[in-house]
Amino acid sequence: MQMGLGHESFDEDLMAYASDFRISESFHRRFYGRWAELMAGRPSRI
Amino acid sequence: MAEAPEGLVDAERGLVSRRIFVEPDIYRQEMENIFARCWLFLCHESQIPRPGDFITTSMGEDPVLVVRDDGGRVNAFLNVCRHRGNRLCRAEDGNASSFTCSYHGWSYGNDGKLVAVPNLEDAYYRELEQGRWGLMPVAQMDSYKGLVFATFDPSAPPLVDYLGEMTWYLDNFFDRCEGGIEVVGGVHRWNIGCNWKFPSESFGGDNYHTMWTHLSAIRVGIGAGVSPASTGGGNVVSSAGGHGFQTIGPSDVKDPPVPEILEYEAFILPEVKKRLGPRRELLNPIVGTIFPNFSMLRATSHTFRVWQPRGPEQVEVQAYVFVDANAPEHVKEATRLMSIRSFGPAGTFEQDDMDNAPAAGRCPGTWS
Ligand code: FES
Ligand SMILES: [Fe+2]
Repeated sequence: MQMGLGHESFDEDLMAYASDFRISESFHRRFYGRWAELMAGRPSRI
Repeated sequence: MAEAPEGLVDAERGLVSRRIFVEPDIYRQEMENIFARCWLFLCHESQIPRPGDFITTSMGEDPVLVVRDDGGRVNAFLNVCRHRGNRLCRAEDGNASSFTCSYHGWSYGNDGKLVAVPNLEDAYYRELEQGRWGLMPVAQMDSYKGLVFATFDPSAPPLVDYLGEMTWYLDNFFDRCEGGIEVVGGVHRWNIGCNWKFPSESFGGDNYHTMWTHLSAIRVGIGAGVSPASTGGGNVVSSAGGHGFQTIGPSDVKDPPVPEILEYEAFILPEVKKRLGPRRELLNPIVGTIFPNFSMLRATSHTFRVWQPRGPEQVEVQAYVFVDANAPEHVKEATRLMSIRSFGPAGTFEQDDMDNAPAAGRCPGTWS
Protein backbone atom coordinates (compact mmCIF):
# COMPACT_ATOMS: atom_id res chain seq x y z
CA MET A 1 0.00 0.00 0.00
CA GLN A 2 2.70 2.43 -1.10
CA MET A 3 0.87 4.14 -3.94
CA GLY A 4 1.04 7.91 -3.53
CA LEU A 5 3.28 7.74 -0.45
CA GLY A 6 4.54 11.26 0.15
CA HIS A 7 2.00 12.70 -2.29
CA GLU A 8 -0.67 13.45 0.26
CA SER A 9 -1.20 16.07 2.92
CA PHE A 10 -3.71 17.35 5.41
CA ASP A 11 -6.06 19.68 3.55
CA GLU A 12 -7.60 22.40 5.71
CA ASP A 13 -10.47 22.97 3.28
CA LEU A 14 -11.39 19.30 3.24
CA MET A 15 -10.50 18.82 6.92
CA ALA A 16 -8.96 15.48 6.02
CA TYR A 17 -5.81 13.95 4.64
CA ALA A 18 -6.09 14.14 0.89
CA SER A 19 -4.15 12.42 -1.85
CA ASP A 20 -2.73 14.69 -4.53
CA PHE A 21 -4.04 12.43 -7.29
CA ARG A 22 -7.47 10.84 -7.32
CA ILE A 23 -6.01 7.31 -7.33
CA SER A 24 -3.96 6.54 -4.25
CA GLU A 25 -3.48 4.14 -1.36
CA SER A 26 -3.52 7.08 1.02
CA PHE A 27 -6.62 5.81 2.83
CA HIS A 28 -5.13 2.33 3.24
CA ARG A 29 -2.28 3.79 5.28
CA ARG A 30 -4.72 5.63 7.56
CA PHE A 31 -6.96 2.56 7.89
CA TYR A 32 -4.18 0.16 8.84
CA GLY A 33 -2.45 2.82 10.92
CA ARG A 34 -5.58 3.12 13.00
CA TRP A 35 -5.88 -0.66 13.12
CA ALA A 36 -2.33 -0.95 14.46
CA GLU A 37 -2.96 1.73 17.10
CA LEU A 38 -5.99 -0.05 18.42
CA MET A 39 -4.32 -3.45 18.32
CA ALA A 40 -1.50 -2.01 20.38
CA GLY A 41 -4.10 -0.95 22.94
CA ARG A 42 -3.35 2.72 22.59
CA PRO A 43 -6.06 5.08 23.74
CA SER A 44 -8.66 6.24 21.31
CA ARG A 45 -7.43 8.87 18.93
CA ILE A 46 -10.13 10.89 17.33
CA MET B 1 2.53 -15.41 18.59
CA ALA B 2 6.15 -14.39 18.24
CA GLU B 3 5.45 -10.86 17.10
CA ALA B 4 3.11 -8.24 18.49
CA PRO B 5 0.31 -7.73 15.96
CA GLU B 6 0.91 -4.02 15.69
CA GLY B 7 4.41 -4.76 14.37
CA LEU B 8 2.79 -6.28 11.32
CA VAL B 9 1.77 -2.91 9.94
CA ASP B 10 4.13 -0.12 8.95
CA ALA B 11 1.74 2.56 7.78
CA GLU B 12 4.50 5.13 7.31
CA ARG B 13 6.22 2.94 4.75
CA GLY B 14 3.02 1.51 3.34
CA LEU B 15 3.65 -2.08 4.38
CA VAL B 16 1.26 -4.63 5.81
CA SER B 17 1.83 -8.30 6.54
CA ARG B 18 -0.70 -10.66 5.05
CA ARG B 19 -0.76 -12.49 8.36
CA ILE B 20 -3.29 -9.97 9.64
CA PHE B 21 -5.83 -11.37 7.18
CA VAL B 22 -5.61 -15.01 8.17
CA GLU B 23 -4.31 -15.61 11.68
CA PRO B 24 -6.84 -16.72 14.30
CA ASP B 25 -4.91 -15.13 17.20
CA ILE B 26 -4.87 -11.76 15.49
CA TYR B 27 -8.55 -12.11 14.68
CA ARG B 28 -9.37 -12.85 18.33
CA GLN B 29 -7.43 -9.79 19.39
CA GLU B 30 -9.34 -7.69 16.86
CA MET B 31 -12.58 -8.71 18.53
CA GLU B 32 -11.32 -7.30 21.84
CA ASN B 33 -9.27 -4.30 20.75
CA ILE B 34 -11.39 -3.12 17.83
CA PHE B 35 -14.91 -4.53 17.85
CA ALA B 36 -15.36 -4.21 21.62
CA ARG B 37 -14.10 -0.61 21.58
CA CYS B 38 -15.13 1.19 18.39
CA TRP B 39 -18.48 2.68 17.53
CA LEU B 40 -20.19 0.15 15.26
CA PHE B 41 -23.06 0.80 12.88
CA LEU B 42 -26.37 -0.86 13.78
CA CYS B 43 -29.08 0.41 11.45
CA HIS B 44 -30.82 3.42 9.98
CA GLU B 45 -33.77 4.77 11.95
CA SER B 46 -36.05 4.39 8.91
CA GLN B 47 -35.72 0.62 9.32
CA ILE B 48 -37.51 0.73 12.68
CA PRO B 49 -39.95 3.68 12.50
CA ARG B 50 -42.79 2.39 14.75
CA PRO B 51 -42.90 1.25 18.39
CA GLY B 52 -42.04 -2.44 18.51
CA ASP B 53 -40.09 -2.41 15.22
CA PHE B 54 -36.85 -4.32 15.51
CA ILE B 55 -33.93 -5.66 13.52
CA THR B 56 -31.28 -8.17 14.50
CA THR B 57 -27.67 -7.57 13.63
CA SER B 58 -24.32 -8.02 15.32
CA MET B 59 -21.45 -6.06 16.79
CA GLY B 60 -18.38 -8.02 15.88
CA GLU B 61 -19.54 -11.58 16.46
CA ASP B 62 -21.97 -10.65 19.24
CA PRO B 63 -25.63 -10.86 18.21
CA VAL B 64 -27.56 -7.67 18.86
CA LEU B 65 -31.26 -6.81 18.92
CA VAL B 66 -32.12 -3.22 18.00
CA VAL B 67 -35.69 -2.37 18.95
CA ARG B 68 -37.88 0.69 19.31
CA ASP B 69 -39.81 0.34 22.56
CA ASP B 70 -43.45 1.26 23.17
CA GLY B 71 -42.31 4.70 24.32
CA GLY B 72 -40.60 5.30 20.95
CA ARG B 73 -37.04 5.01 22.25
CA VAL B 74 -34.49 2.96 20.30
CA ASN B 75 -32.53 0.46 22.40
CA ALA B 76 -29.86 -2.10 21.56
CA PHE B 77 -29.36 -5.26 23.58
CA LEU B 78 -27.30 -8.38 23.30
CA ASN B 79 -29.65 -10.77 21.54
CA VAL B 80 -29.01 -13.36 24.22
CA CYS B 81 -31.42 -14.74 26.79
CA ARG B 82 -30.27 -14.09 30.34
CA HIS B 83 -31.32 -17.56 31.53
CA ARG B 84 -29.05 -20.01 29.75
CA GLY B 85 -27.75 -17.80 26.97
CA ASN B 86 -29.93 -18.96 24.10
CA ARG B 87 -30.26 -16.69 21.04
CA LEU B 88 -33.41 -14.73 21.86
CA CYS B 89 -34.79 -13.33 18.60
CA ARG B 90 -34.27 -15.41 15.47
CA ALA B 91 -36.03 -13.12 12.99
CA GLU B 92 -34.11 -10.59 10.87
CA ASP B 93 -36.70 -7.89 11.45
CA GLY B 94 -40.31 -7.40 12.44
CA ASN B 95 -42.55 -5.82 15.06
CA ALA B 96 -43.04 -7.21 18.56
CA SER B 97 -44.23 -6.05 21.95
CA SER B 98 -42.21 -8.82 23.58
CA PHE B 99 -39.61 -11.46 22.78
CA THR B 100 -39.94 -14.99 24.15
CA CYS B 101 -36.99 -17.34 24.33
CA SER B 102 -37.52 -20.63 22.51
CA TYR B 103 -35.68 -22.68 25.15
CA HIS B 104 -37.57 -22.28 28.46
CA GLY B 105 -39.89 -19.42 27.61
CA TRP B 106 -38.51 -16.37 29.42
CA SER B 107 -40.14 -13.26 27.95
CA TYR B 108 -38.71 -9.76 27.59
CA GLY B 109 -40.56 -6.54 26.82
CA ASN B 110 -39.40 -4.44 23.88
CA ASP B 111 -37.69 -2.23 26.48
CA GLY B 112 -35.53 -5.19 27.51
CA LYS B 113 -37.20 -5.85 30.87
CA LEU B 114 -37.78 -9.46 31.88
CA VAL B 115 -41.57 -9.63 32.04
CA ALA B 116 -42.49 -13.31 32.31
CA VAL B 117 -40.79 -16.45 33.60
CA PRO B 118 -42.52 -19.86 33.39
CA ASN B 119 -42.79 -21.64 36.75
CA LEU B 120 -41.87 -18.51 38.64
CA GLU B 121 -44.02 -19.51 41.62
CA ASP B 122 -43.52 -23.25 41.92
CA ALA B 123 -39.99 -23.82 40.66
CA TYR B 124 -38.41 -20.48 41.53
CA TYR B 125 -40.49 -20.01 44.72
CA ARG B 126 -40.82 -16.38 43.59
CA GLU B 127 -37.22 -15.92 44.69
CA LEU B 128 -35.84 -14.92 41.26
CA GLU B 129 -34.73 -11.29 41.19
CA GLN B 130 -36.60 -10.55 38.00
CA GLY B 131 -35.45 -6.92 37.87
CA ARG B 132 -31.83 -8.02 37.59
CA TRP B 133 -32.27 -10.21 34.56
CA GLY B 134 -33.35 -7.87 31.82
CA LEU B 135 -31.55 -7.95 28.47
CA MET B 136 -27.98 -6.64 28.49
CA PRO B 137 -27.82 -3.21 26.89
CA VAL B 138 -24.84 -1.96 24.87
CA ALA B 139 -22.60 0.47 26.75
CA GLN B 140 -23.43 3.51 24.61
CA MET B 141 -25.74 4.18 21.71
CA ASP B 142 -26.17 7.33 19.62
CA SER B 143 -27.21 8.36 16.16
CA TYR B 144 -26.03 10.74 13.49
CA LYS B 145 -28.52 11.84 10.80
CA GLY B 146 -30.56 8.69 11.39
CA LEU B 147 -27.55 6.35 11.42
CA VAL B 148 -27.61 4.41 14.68
CA PHE B 149 -24.29 3.36 16.17
CA ALA B 150 -23.35 1.64 19.41
CA THR B 151 -20.25 0.63 21.32
CA PHE B 152 -19.48 -1.90 24.03
CA ASP B 153 -16.95 0.52 25.52
CA PRO B 154 -18.40 2.74 28.25
CA SER B 155 -15.34 5.00 28.01
CA ALA B 156 -15.46 5.46 24.23
CA PRO B 157 -15.52 9.10 23.09
CA PRO B 158 -18.90 10.47 21.96
CA LEU B 159 -20.03 9.31 18.53
CA VAL B 160 -19.79 12.77 17.01
CA ASP B 161 -16.15 12.97 18.09
CA TYR B 162 -15.47 9.48 16.79
CA LEU B 163 -16.80 10.49 13.38
CA GLY B 164 -15.07 13.88 13.56
CA GLU B 165 -14.89 15.78 10.29
CA MET B 166 -16.18 12.74 8.46
CA THR B 167 -19.71 13.83 9.36
CA TRP B 168 -19.72 16.16 6.35
CA TYR B 169 -18.76 13.27 4.11
CA LEU B 170 -21.61 11.21 5.56
CA ASP B 171 -23.99 14.08 4.81
CA ASN B 172 -23.17 13.60 1.12
CA PHE B 173 -24.92 10.24 1.30
CA PHE B 174 -27.53 10.58 4.02
CA ASP B 175 -28.51 14.24 4.23
CA ARG B 176 -28.37 15.59 0.69
CA CYS B 177 -32.02 16.64 0.69
CA GLU B 178 -34.68 17.65 3.16
CA GLY B 179 -35.97 14.49 4.87
CA GLY B 180 -32.71 12.57 4.56
CA ILE B 181 -32.85 8.99 3.35
CA GLU B 182 -34.81 5.83 3.93
CA VAL B 183 -33.99 2.18 3.44
CA VAL B 184 -36.04 0.39 0.79
CA GLY B 185 -36.57 -3.35 0.70
CA GLY B 186 -34.95 -5.75 3.10
CA VAL B 187 -31.44 -6.80 3.85
CA HIS B 188 -29.18 -8.80 1.58
CA ARG B 189 -27.06 -11.12 3.71
CA TRP B 190 -24.39 -13.37 2.30
CA ASN B 191 -20.92 -14.63 3.10
CA ILE B 192 -17.64 -13.99 1.35
CA GLY B 193 -14.55 -16.05 2.12
CA CYS B 194 -12.28 -13.18 3.00
CA ASN B 195 -11.17 -11.13 5.97
CA TRP B 196 -13.45 -8.23 6.98
CA LYS B 197 -10.70 -5.70 6.35
CA PHE B 198 -10.59 -6.38 2.60
CA PRO B 199 -14.00 -5.00 1.61
CA SER B 200 -13.81 -2.31 4.26
CA GLU B 201 -10.50 -1.09 2.86
CA SER B 202 -11.73 -1.40 -0.71
CA PHE B 203 -14.74 0.86 -0.17
CA GLY B 204 -12.79 3.34 1.90
CA GLY B 205 -10.17 4.13 -0.68
CA ASP B 206 -9.35 1.57 -3.33
CA ASN B 207 -10.29 3.48 -6.44
CA TYR B 208 -7.28 1.84 -8.12
CA HIS B 209 -9.25 -1.34 -8.77
CA THR B 210 -12.35 0.25 -10.22
CA MET B 211 -11.28 0.66 -13.84
CA TRP B 212 -9.67 -2.78 -13.93
CA THR B 213 -11.73 -5.15 -11.76
CA HIS B 214 -14.98 -3.68 -13.06
CA LEU B 215 -13.87 -3.06 -16.62
CA SER B 216 -16.39 -5.44 -18.18
CA ALA B 217 -19.32 -3.74 -16.41
CA ILE B 218 -17.97 -0.34 -17.38
CA ARG B 219 -17.55 -1.43 -21.02
CA VAL B 220 -21.16 -2.52 -21.30
CA GLY B 221 -22.21 0.87 -20.03
CA ILE B 222 -23.48 0.13 -16.53
CA GLY B 223 -21.52 3.08 -15.28
CA ALA B 224 -18.74 3.78 -12.81
CA GLY B 225 -16.33 4.68 -15.58
CA VAL B 226 -14.83 8.12 -15.54
CA SER B 227 -17.28 9.97 -17.72
CA PRO B 228 -15.92 11.60 -20.89
CA ALA B 229 -16.64 14.97 -19.31
CA SER B 230 -14.65 14.10 -16.20
CA THR B 231 -12.48 16.84 -14.84
CA GLY B 232 -10.09 14.25 -13.46
CA GLY B 233 -10.59 15.91 -10.08
CA GLY B 234 -11.27 14.30 -6.75
CA ASN B 235 -9.02 12.85 -4.07
CA VAL B 236 -8.94 10.03 -1.63
CA VAL B 237 -9.67 11.63 1.73
CA SER B 238 -9.11 10.02 5.09
CA SER B 239 -8.85 10.78 8.77
CA ALA B 240 -6.60 9.67 11.58
CA GLY B 241 -9.59 7.75 12.92
CA GLY B 242 -9.22 5.33 9.99
CA HIS B 243 -12.27 6.57 8.08
CA GLY B 244 -12.03 7.39 4.40
CA PHE B 245 -13.88 8.37 1.24
CA GLN B 246 -13.27 8.19 -2.48
CA THR B 247 -14.30 11.35 -4.22
CA ILE B 248 -14.65 12.63 -7.75
CA GLY B 249 -14.54 16.16 -9.12
CA PRO B 250 -17.38 18.45 -8.04
CA SER B 251 -19.05 18.37 -11.43
CA ASP B 252 -18.25 14.77 -12.29
CA VAL B 253 -21.11 12.32 -12.51
CA LYS B 254 -21.05 8.66 -11.55
CA ASP B 255 -24.77 8.07 -11.39
CA PRO B 256 -26.11 5.07 -13.29
CA PRO B 257 -27.19 5.76 -16.88
CA VAL B 258 -30.89 5.53 -16.06
CA PRO B 259 -32.92 8.49 -17.36
CA GLU B 260 -35.18 8.82 -14.28
CA ILE B 261 -32.19 8.88 -11.96
CA LEU B 262 -30.11 11.28 -14.04
CA GLU B 263 -33.07 13.64 -14.37
CA TYR B 264 -33.74 13.52 -10.62
CA GLU B 265 -30.10 14.07 -9.72
CA ALA B 266 -29.90 17.09 -12.01
CA PHE B 267 -33.10 18.45 -10.46
CA ILE B 268 -31.91 18.18 -6.84
CA LEU B 269 -28.33 19.34 -7.49
CA PRO B 270 -28.91 22.99 -6.48
CA GLU B 271 -30.46 21.89 -3.14
CA VAL B 272 -27.67 19.38 -2.57
CA LYS B 273 -25.01 22.02 -3.14
CA LYS B 274 -26.78 24.49 -0.91
CA ARG B 275 -27.07 22.03 1.96
CA LEU B 276 -23.51 20.80 1.69
CA GLY B 277 -21.94 24.23 1.38
CA PRO B 278 -18.64 25.41 -0.14
CA ARG B 279 -16.74 22.15 0.31
CA ARG B 280 -19.08 20.52 -2.21
CA GLU B 281 -17.59 22.88 -4.81
CA LEU B 282 -14.26 21.11 -4.26
CA LEU B 283 -15.22 17.45 -4.46
CA ASN B 284 -18.02 14.92 -4.62
CA PRO B 285 -17.70 11.93 -2.24
CA ILE B 286 -19.19 8.73 -3.70
CA VAL B 287 -17.78 5.76 -1.76
CA GLY B 288 -16.49 5.42 1.77
CA THR B 289 -15.89 3.51 4.99
CA ILE B 290 -16.35 4.48 8.60
CA PHE B 291 -13.82 2.50 10.62
CA PRO B 292 -13.95 -0.37 11.18
CA ASN B 293 -16.64 -1.97 9.00
CA PHE B 294 -19.42 0.35 7.84
CA SER B 295 -19.30 1.24 4.14
CA MET B 296 -21.45 3.16 1.71
CA LEU B 297 -21.69 3.83 -1.99
CA ARG B 298 -23.58 6.42 -3.99
CA ALA B 299 -22.82 5.76 -7.65
CA THR B 300 -24.11 2.88 -9.75
CA SER B 301 -25.81 1.72 -6.57
CA HIS B 302 -27.11 3.45 -3.48
CA THR B 303 -26.08 0.99 -0.84
CA PHE B 304 -24.69 0.87 2.65
CA ARG B 305 -23.44 -2.24 4.29
CA VAL B 306 -21.70 -3.73 7.28
CA TRP B 307 -18.85 -6.20 6.84
CA GLN B 308 -19.49 -8.48 9.80
CA PRO B 309 -16.44 -10.47 10.87
CA ARG B 310 -17.12 -14.21 10.99
CA GLY B 311 -13.67 -15.64 11.54
CA PRO B 312 -10.35 -14.61 10.02
CA GLU B 313 -11.34 -15.64 6.51
CA GLN B 314 -15.08 -15.11 6.49
CA VAL B 315 -17.19 -12.00 6.30
CA GLU B 316 -20.97 -11.80 6.43
CA VAL B 317 -22.23 -8.90 4.36
CA GLN B 318 -25.37 -7.09 5.47
CA ALA B 319 -26.29 -4.79 2.60
CA TYR B 320 -29.15 -2.33 2.22
CA VAL B 321 -30.42 -0.02 -0.52
CA PHE B 322 -31.18 3.58 0.41
CA VAL B 323 -33.00 6.36 -1.40
CA ASP B 324 -33.75 10.00 -0.67
CA ALA B 325 -36.87 9.84 1.50
CA ASN B 326 -38.64 12.58 -0.48
CA ALA B 327 -37.69 11.35 -3.94
CA PRO B 328 -40.61 10.48 -6.27
CA GLU B 329 -41.69 6.83 -6.12
CA HIS B 330 -40.55 6.07 -9.68
CA VAL B 331 -37.06 7.35 -8.83
CA LYS B 332 -36.96 5.24 -5.67
CA GLU B 333 -37.93 2.16 -7.67
CA ALA B 334 -35.40 2.90 -10.42
CA THR B 335 -32.71 3.37 -7.76
CA ARG B 336 -33.65 0.14 -6.02
CA LEU B 337 -33.51 -1.86 -9.25
CA MET B 338 -30.23 -0.33 -10.39
CA SER B 339 -28.75 -0.81 -6.93
CA ILE B 340 -29.39 -4.54 -6.77
CA ARG B 341 -28.32 -5.03 -10.38
CA SER B 342 -24.91 -3.56 -9.66
CA PHE B 343 -24.31 -4.36 -5.96
CA GLY B 344 -25.61 -7.21 -3.83
CA PRO B 345 -25.05 -10.94 -4.23
CA ALA B 346 -26.33 -10.87 -7.83
CA GLY B 347 -24.88 -7.45 -8.67
CA THR B 348 -22.45 -7.12 -11.55
CA PHE B 349 -19.92 -5.02 -9.66
CA GLU B 350 -20.25 -6.90 -6.41
CA GLN B 351 -19.54 -10.20 -8.14
CA ASP B 352 -16.32 -8.79 -9.55
CA ASP B 353 -15.25 -7.79 -6.04
CA MET B 354 -16.36 -11.08 -4.49
CA ASP B 355 -14.08 -12.93 -6.88
CA ASN B 356 -10.98 -10.95 -5.95
CA ALA B 357 -11.35 -10.58 -2.20
CA PRO B 358 -10.96 -14.25 -1.16
CA ALA B 359 -8.07 -14.83 -3.52
CA ALA B 360 -6.22 -11.70 -2.42
CA GLY B 361 -6.27 -12.65 1.23
CA ARG B 362 -5.17 -16.24 1.01
CA CYS B 363 -1.53 -17.00 1.66
CA PRO B 364 0.53 -19.92 2.88
CA GLY B 365 0.95 -19.95 6.62
CA THR B 366 4.69 -20.47 6.57
CA TRP B 367 6.13 -17.39 4.83
CA SER B 368 4.50 -13.90 4.53
S1 FES C 1 -32.26 -20.05 27.80
FE1 FES C 1 -33.84 -18.65 27.42
S2 FES C 1 -35.41 -19.29 28.74
FE2 FES C 1 -33.81 -20.64 29.15
FE1 LIG D 1 -15.20 -2.84 -6.48
